[in-house]
Amino acid sequence: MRDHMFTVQEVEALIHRGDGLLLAGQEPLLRRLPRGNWIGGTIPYFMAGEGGIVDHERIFVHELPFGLRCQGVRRYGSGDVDRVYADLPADGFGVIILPASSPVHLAFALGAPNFEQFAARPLVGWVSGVHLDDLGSKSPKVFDGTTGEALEEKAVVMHVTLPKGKVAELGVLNIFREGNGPAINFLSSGFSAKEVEVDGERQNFAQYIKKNGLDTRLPLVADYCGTPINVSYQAVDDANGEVFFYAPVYAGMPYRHAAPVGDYVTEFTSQLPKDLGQRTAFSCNCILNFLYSNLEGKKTANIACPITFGEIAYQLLNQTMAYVTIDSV
Amino acid sequence: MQVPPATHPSWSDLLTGKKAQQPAFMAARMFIVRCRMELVKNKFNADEVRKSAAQLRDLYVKNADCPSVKQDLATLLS
Repeated sequence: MRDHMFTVQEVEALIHRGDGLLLAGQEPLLRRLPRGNWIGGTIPYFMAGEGGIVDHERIFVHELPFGLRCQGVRRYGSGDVDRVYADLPADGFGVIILPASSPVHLAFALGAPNFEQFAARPLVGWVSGVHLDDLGSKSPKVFDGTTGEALEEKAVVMHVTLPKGKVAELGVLNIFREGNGPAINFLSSGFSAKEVEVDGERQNFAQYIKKNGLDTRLPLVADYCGTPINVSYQAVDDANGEVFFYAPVYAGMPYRHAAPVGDYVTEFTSQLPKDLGQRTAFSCNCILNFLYSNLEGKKTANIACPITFGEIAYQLLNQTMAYVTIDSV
Repeated sequence: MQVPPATHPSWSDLLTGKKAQQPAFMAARMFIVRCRMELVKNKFNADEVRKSAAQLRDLYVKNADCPSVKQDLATLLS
């Protein structure tokens, strides 16, 4: 398995070589890097060659595979992120990094499926974060390597072009499936909910969770034509009867609480497509999978990736591994 | 491989759910679900279905080289 964890000095050398780089690491490390064809986001959690790690000293590097080129880096705020799909290169794909809880993160999360040219070109990426001990005291950042700037309220997107005869395709690996419980329908779209309809009966969702003893480490799952898409619980406020999520729920979309899973690593490995590791240009996995499945010190087959506060495969996902593969036409 | 015209009934059948088979192309899955939420609201208005069918076809045209698109063209949309 290729090594993905590098010191600042090693990453500097890669940047000077001119290749396109997708970086993840702690803010002080990314701030020391020279300008070049790279984007980055803050996070100290990774799946590396040695397994799940928390690393404050090294930077995770996805080097663009041979023949793929960084065509440029765009920045978007909450006011213009709706152009993100329309701007993608016709002969390539985009890699986006959004700072967690920023206005552009929220705008993308809620609006992406209705943005112009949604899904017309592959858009993959992640939501940057901080060490969980630093929640509230430090802010997640993204970096535009072409200028070296750290950004708190903008998303960065690297436009990647493919050589002739190559094609990029997005995939997700989600071990969660809809459980046998009733369909849960939300009355409005958003990151929180009070009232829901369960089997047509309106009730308070926080009370419903308590009454039914739902394990909120398991996500809500919606069926997207055969692709299970998760929305993870962030918090249940019993006092105010409100439930908060890490991604928006959509009115008009039936959700079900996920079925319990056995061992994450076993399930993950069994669902992993063969030779994925060799064909993957970029991948990321969710911090909730890292935490709830105690992935620190464990290996998830030959997949190495940053652990993130949200994954993007066309739209925002939770508790999922997102990836882009490069294949010959 | 030829992408059928927007008037081909398979596009609208995928959008309305009349065609039970599911596409392999993940972008199509996400796009269809987004469209269905809107189409349900406007009671599958024929003009809106036609408009969405053209957009769905456009997704396939723009990604015609993807393995999953080729698979769908050979199975769902032939």
